[in-house]
Amino acid sequence: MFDLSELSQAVINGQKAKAEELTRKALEEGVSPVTIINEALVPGMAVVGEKFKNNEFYIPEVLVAARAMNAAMAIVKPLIVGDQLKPLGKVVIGTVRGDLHDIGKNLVMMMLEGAGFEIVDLGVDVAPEKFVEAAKANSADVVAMSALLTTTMPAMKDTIAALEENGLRDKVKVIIGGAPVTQSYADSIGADGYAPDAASAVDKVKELLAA
Amino acid sequence: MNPRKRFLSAIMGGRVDRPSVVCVNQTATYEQMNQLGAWWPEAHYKAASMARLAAGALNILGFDAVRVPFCQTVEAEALGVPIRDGGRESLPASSAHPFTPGEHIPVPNDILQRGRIPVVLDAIRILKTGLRNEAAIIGGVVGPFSVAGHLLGTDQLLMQSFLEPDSVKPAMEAALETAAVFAAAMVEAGAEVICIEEMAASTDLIRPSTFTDLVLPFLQNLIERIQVPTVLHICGNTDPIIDALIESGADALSIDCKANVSAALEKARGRTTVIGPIDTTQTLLYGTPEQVAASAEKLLSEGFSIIAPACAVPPGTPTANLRAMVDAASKAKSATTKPPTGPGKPSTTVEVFARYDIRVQKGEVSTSSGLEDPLLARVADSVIKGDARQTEEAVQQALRKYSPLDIINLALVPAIDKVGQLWDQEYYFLPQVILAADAMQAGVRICEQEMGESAQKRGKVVMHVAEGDVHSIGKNIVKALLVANGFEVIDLGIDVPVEKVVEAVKEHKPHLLTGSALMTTTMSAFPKIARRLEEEGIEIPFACGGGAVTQQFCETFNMGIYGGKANRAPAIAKAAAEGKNWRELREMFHR
Repeated sequence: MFDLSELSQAVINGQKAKAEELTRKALEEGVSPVTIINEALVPGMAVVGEKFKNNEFYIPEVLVAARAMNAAMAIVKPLIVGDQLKPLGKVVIGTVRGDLHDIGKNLVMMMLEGAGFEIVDLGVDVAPEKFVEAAKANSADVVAMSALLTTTMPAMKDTIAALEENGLRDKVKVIIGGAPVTQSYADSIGADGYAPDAASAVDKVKELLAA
Repeated sequence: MNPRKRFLSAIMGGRVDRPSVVCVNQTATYEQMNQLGAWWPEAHYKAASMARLAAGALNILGFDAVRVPFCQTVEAEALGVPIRDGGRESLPASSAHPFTPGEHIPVPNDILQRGRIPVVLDAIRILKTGLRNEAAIIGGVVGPFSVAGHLLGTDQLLMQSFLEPDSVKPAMEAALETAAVFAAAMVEAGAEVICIEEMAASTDLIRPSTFTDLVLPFLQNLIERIQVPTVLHICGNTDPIIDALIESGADALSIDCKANVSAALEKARGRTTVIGPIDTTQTLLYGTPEQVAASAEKLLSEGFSIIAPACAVPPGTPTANLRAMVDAASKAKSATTKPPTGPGKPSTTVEVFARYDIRVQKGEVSTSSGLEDPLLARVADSVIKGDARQTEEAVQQALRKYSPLDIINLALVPAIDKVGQLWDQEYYFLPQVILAADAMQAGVRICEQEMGESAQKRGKVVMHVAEGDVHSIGKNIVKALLVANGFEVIDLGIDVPVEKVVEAVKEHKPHLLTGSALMTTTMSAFPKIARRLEEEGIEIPFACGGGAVTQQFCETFNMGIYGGKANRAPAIAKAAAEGKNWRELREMFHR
């Protein structure tokens, strides 16, 4: 049996080239793409998330690990046929209108992907209508929004209103985050959830979808 | 104790009459913008607007210092990073990251002329003149690590700072050079404190060892090269790096509420000042004045000698919340050598100025017009007080007894003369002058309406503010005086291109042309106008004034006459209307 823990470790250590090499090797030895994801990449990112929560890892380490994970994902994903890999859920994610900051959003996105969610990344400066369109087109379970500025936070409220206007509000869970965002702000605008960092975002999304 | 002195003393750990309240990051809010008539995005690009808006920190918020610029993109832009404007509500942001880790980034020789660096420097010069040392001027620079984030892209910066720290050093070096040169220029322009904002070095983003190994040496180098007191600002939880921050050499540390600020205060005692932070989003932006006061009181009771918002003031923050910080500090007991000053919470702009009426309370300076007749005195005192509405009412009352011309000559003109005296005595500052000028103009307008077109005009004057310059108060005061003295004024407004001035002179054939410029960069338009007029065969007295203009400068081009003080304008215009040419006017009015 191919030892997938080495691949997990390569992801945790952020060793992109090694992760790619080990992924290819695993495939050659007959390990299925789905197994590679579920038993190497996902657990690897879970460890990264834990270390981040414990202040063992800081953002650079997480970014680097996520980069390694993405590289491995890029190899196995195209090989997954049809319905073999059931994502835990579909998440539409973006930084709100007027805001160009994306590191936080990227981290959340990578952690969610690493946890087994399917991600539709809308990028930065995303207008409310765009969130709505994407949620509709992708039958999203979660709409995730990020903002770094107090000046752009109000766009979160606008997006929630747009979801309501389009009859989508009760079909999705809305989760928000970003440096100036707080639980009480999330409550005040009617968001379903708030998380203070990428690692806890994954927990929160799982919690929201389980409910 | 004057606000500037209080802050400069507090930052170096010295005696104060009460705790100092400042913001070392940006201070502009929508409320202030509307009150001051200076808005984003213009205030990011025009020095006059930037200065005006920044001065709100003193005049409206009651802080001890003002700070420019508002955004954190000036250095990056100067080094070639494309910037996207943030419109009326937000700040400019870098929209692309043109450099790669490891790449050498040249710092242009003319870096001080690049991007908006000249605008910030001019804004500081304007503040230096306009504030008359009432508040300290803080020049903000962005730290080398954060600028490197704009140059390389923050994700690249963060990853490489971990994987290959040497590869981000070229970007940090370019940023360091730029910051050092910029800071020196700011100091030369009049900045008394430099605040270094190093947000990207927060432990929210990088591990403590990266800060100590990679970022700290650059900060120490930068701080060593700055000749005035420095404040180092870093957000996030700074507990793991507090020792390193103290070792940076900064005279004060501005940290976040997320950190253990009391512990930091203790650790830093005797070595550097720690500024007590008030949460910006929950408390200042979304809280009530009472909540702000409670936060402030807690910090003050712990012994912080300076309190400030934890980070940049969110532009939607209500003025009342920011003033609550100042009120709390005013009430606090601290080691004093002078009795505390400052009454309660003023609610109108006019009352805000009463806060600074210290000398009046002690009977040193009188703001009374001193006129005997009660109707005229009421007109004049309303102007001096800067109350336009009251001036209009008073003029209407006075018109029952006096002719419009008498009201102008016996009340309005003496009132503005008194304002000029109060300015000279360094008792009135720019805001009071602005309000008084507006009030005088309001009064003059009513008188003009009364006089109708029947009043014979003594002469025609074309006025303008130099191309690229937006300052109009001086011109408006002169205009009011000229109108009051019976001249017809064609006001071309502000930022008037050279050609437009020439065309207006050709069209209106005035007796006198005036030009006003506050900045040395814009007064260069005047010799150009003179040359163009000569080319067109026109010879006309061209009286120039404004903060940047000197008699010597006026003598460097034909037709130039030094205007000097505003109250000389009617005499110069009169002489010009009588047919004196510019050489004769120089004889009469130059020293």
